Amino acid sequence: MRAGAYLCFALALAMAGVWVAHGQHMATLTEKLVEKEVVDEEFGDTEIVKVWEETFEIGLDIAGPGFGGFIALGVGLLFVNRRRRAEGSSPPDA
Amino acid sequence: MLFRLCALALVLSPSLAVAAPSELDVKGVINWISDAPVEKIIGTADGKGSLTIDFADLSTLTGNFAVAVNSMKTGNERRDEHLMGAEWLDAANYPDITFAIKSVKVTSAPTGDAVKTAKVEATGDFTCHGKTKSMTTPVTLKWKGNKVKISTTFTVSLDDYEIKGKSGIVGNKVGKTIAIDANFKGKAK
Repeated sequence: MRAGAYLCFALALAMAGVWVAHGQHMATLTEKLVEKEVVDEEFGDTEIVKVWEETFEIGLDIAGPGFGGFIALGVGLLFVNRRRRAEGSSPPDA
Repeated sequence: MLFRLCALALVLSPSLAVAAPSELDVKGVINWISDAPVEKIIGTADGKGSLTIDFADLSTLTGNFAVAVNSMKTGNERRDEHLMGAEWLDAANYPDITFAIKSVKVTSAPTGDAVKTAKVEATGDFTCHGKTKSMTTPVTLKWKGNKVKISTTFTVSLDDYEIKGKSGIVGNKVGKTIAIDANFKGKAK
């Protein structure tokens, strides 16, 4: 039970870490604008063209509830664990 | 004598001819950025337009451009739906963002040989979210033969066009002004 709670806390931290690493977006991005330098053959010059490319960058819309959920689950597991231990160590009724 | 006059007229006619303004349809992409303290949103939209341009006198340039609100993309479908919703751009009632050029001032005369480049300041009516305001924007024109490239950069204040969004979002999650970079290409008819 206790190990499960620690696993939940670790997953919550991991989720926060992924969110930070992905650029701390508010909304999850499924497509991202990527700049590409292309040669305009008609005009003989180069231009920067932005194109959408598929991606998955987790945003706070997913990471937030995920983080909160794992923390809540971890706290819940610790609470249940403590209660069971308390019940196990309490003296039997007379 | 009459024959000689006719021959002279034929020889001179090409140089005397006044170049007619060219009409062209243009298509392009609009890149826009909303930079707010909480989040920077980068998006695109598709645009199209029509121009009448006299390459010998750019000050006579006129044209209309339109951007379809429902072509706007931010990389997140749910956010795109919000953007087109009634609280933001209200695509159902105001499907296009338009700019109609009313007057043009040449700020940099055409330079170049094969590819000509000129800069102008275009003043016109910018309509967004059903509100129209006069706007002046710097425009770079490039042309080669009958092909034309147009680019401009300007900012739009959401307040000016009464785009409110959800309470507290503008200025926090969405920038009060949107930076716009528009690029169009077309071919004279």
